[in-house]
Amino acid sequence: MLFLDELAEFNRASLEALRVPLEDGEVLISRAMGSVRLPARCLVVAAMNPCPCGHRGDPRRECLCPPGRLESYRRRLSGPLADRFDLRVEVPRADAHGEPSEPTAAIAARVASASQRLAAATPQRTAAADRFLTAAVERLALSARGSNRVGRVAASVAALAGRGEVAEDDVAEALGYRLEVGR
Amino acid sequence: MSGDEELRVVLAGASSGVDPGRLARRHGCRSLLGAGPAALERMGALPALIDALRLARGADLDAYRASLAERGIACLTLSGGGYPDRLRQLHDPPLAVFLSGPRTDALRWPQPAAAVVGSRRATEAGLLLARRLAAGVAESGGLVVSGLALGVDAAAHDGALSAAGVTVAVLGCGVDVAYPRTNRRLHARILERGLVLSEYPPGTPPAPWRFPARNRLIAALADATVVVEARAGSGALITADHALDLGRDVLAVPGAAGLTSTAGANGLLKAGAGMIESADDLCGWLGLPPPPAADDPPTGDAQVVLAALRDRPGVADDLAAMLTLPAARVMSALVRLELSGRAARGSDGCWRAE
Repeated sequence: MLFLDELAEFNRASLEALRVPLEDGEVLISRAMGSVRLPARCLVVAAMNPCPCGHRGDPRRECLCPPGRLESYRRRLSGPLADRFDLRVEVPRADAHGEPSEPTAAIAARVASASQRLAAATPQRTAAADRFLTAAVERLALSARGSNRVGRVAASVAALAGRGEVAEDDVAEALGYRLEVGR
Repeated sequence: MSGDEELRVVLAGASSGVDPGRLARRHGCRSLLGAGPAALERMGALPALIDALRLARGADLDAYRASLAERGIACLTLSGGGYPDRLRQLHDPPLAVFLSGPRTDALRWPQPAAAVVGSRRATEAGLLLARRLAAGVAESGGLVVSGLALGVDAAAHDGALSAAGVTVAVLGCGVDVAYPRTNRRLHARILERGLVLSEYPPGTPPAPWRFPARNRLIAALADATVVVEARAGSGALITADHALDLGRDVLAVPGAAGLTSTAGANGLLKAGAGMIESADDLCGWLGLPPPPAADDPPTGDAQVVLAALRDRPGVADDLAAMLTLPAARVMSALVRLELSGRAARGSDGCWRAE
């Protein structure tokens, strides 16, 4: 697994260089002496702040970022690179006094059984789910890549819920994990 | 050709970087162009302007007009034909305005026009509301005027365009100068489908003093000015002042008490501005029919989630915790609301009812 913390602090050229490896699962390094292909099939996880000061969207703090600064921060991440992250979610401030979450072991077990299910057979969309996805792709002007990814995420959602079929609600949920980041 | 003298003075102003408006109003463009250096100095003209006026006397206006026409830019002068009546009502109307974009009919728009202005560093809530207000006005046939600044201005133009409406952007630089750079795509869309207007000749770079001046044109082109989120001292308040001077309505969107981001707008409300909370409110003020309502009210989870969003915007996880519903169900309800145009998610991840 590759974890990139403070994604927007990387320089843009380094980030753009990730595009092909993310897509192809391998890295091609070319030098004068020749080139070498290395495997790069990994899970990429990245984190960034909602804005340079980090308070944007926090109901308890006011974002103090000057205009333009927010834009230039977001621009570090290009739209096409952001598109390659299948899941893009906002993470609200952790509440120290909140309910304890589900234990990690229980989640791990659910993920393991979902991967088994996905490995055995990809859950197929119902006719209604298919129509829903088509309409949403149209309405949200998703690219072919984007729509393909939503389909895959929806299949994972169904598998995690232990279902063999992708329902309309699974597609709707999958469409929700596309927080707009980058430009 | 009528308006030649005004155009010469405007060009002299642009090339010298000195606003000739005040002198031109007091002495007339003809005397500015006819006066010698000593006389101009006595009138109070700065040396740079005196030089520029001397050069402008001999400028080849036919060639200049032809080059404007080639670039699809129209120029209307105060004494020439077609000058917008609304701008004439200013005590300091621009000597000339330059226009680019197909919707020159926006200057004689038969329906009411709203200026939607506000902070360049607006919150997501402010941006969404600006967008919604502009879209509502546009859907009801009204015109949306703003200044193509970052933040609220951009959201307003975008809202009007996305509702297939007409919008006018008033710039503090030449109509062909995409400033700020972040808004260059929006600038291009307005050039394609709306109208971009400036009192400065094409090519004029942005300068800090030109922005407050352009605000008076925004106020003059609109029947009402709505301030969406403004700090104390924000440029949007200058626009509101101009609207008051012109006897036009000043409206403001209320914000939470005690936040610097909304002190300006709340100050206007305290001083008696009309309060705007929705596109319906704004259309009501303008005398436009309310924008067409969305059909089929949501049911089930979507109905519950929408009610919660109207109460308080939030991220999906917080909504789920508040409603004690599984996060997955809340997310799918939110997406259904988004697809039917009833909710939208800002780039901060917060969902808000539209």
